[in-house]
Amino acid sequence: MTPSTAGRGTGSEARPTLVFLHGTAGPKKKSKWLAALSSRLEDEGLSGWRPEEVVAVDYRQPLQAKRRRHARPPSRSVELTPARRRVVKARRKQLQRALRGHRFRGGAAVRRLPASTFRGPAIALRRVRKDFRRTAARYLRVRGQVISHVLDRLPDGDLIIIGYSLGSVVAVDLLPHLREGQRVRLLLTWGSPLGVEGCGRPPRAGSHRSRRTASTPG
Amino acid sequence: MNVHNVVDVITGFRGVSDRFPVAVDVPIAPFGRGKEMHGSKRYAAHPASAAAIAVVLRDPAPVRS
Repeated sequence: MTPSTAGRGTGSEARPTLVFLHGTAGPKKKSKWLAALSSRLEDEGLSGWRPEEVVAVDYRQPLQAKRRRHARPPSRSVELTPARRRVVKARRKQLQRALRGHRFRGGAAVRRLPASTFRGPAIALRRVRKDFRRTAARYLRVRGQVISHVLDRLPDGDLIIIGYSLGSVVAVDLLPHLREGQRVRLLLTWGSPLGVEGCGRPPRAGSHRSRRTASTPG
Repeated sequence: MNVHNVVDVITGFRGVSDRFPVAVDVPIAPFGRGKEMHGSKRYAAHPASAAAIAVVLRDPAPVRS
């Protein structure tokens, strides 16, 4: 796949590139989920991305590697400046306003990822449900290969990253390794094992938290 | 509903915060419209996904210096 830097223009500014990281089942036809997302964006008065504009990285090959071949690429440290803090604060307010009304039966439709997620997926993944833990362990063995594979296929510029299931783990793991010119404007995780409340602390048997843990998709 | 729990901004994620302003999680859930769908399509059809993306598309730079 050739990385594309072409965002879809909205007037003078280029759109962020939409990046999709699939789950354990591998990449589906992106036209399916993209059509659903585009339809919702049209409800918001915005046009969606064309399939050829979306970077959907297929990382099944490095994930299925039998043994670890290389370490993770070097991470890059960036200072959080006061100006950047103001941007973050403003963005949080915008999202709070926009997402306030979205709920599902039994709770909020959108929520924050637990802080433990960002101390490293290796820590957060210890608490996910048993059958996903095998997948997580397999990923953690070859994460260097997976991250390098995905990084090589990501374009520069502004990115909106969507991680579905295991793809959300890869996305979070990827963040410290992004190149100088890559800026993540939004990380959207769908059905993430990192998003369950059980992550980062042990779930109690039969508790509300452990039931949520059990609903993590692959 | 505690709005702060709905969506948060990761500020303490040292090293990448500058390029990583926000993370939003859409968990698995019985949705209204779209509940007949499965997998990633189901999440894509969730209005919250489009709403979060729309915020970023409408205002790429929320604070201008």
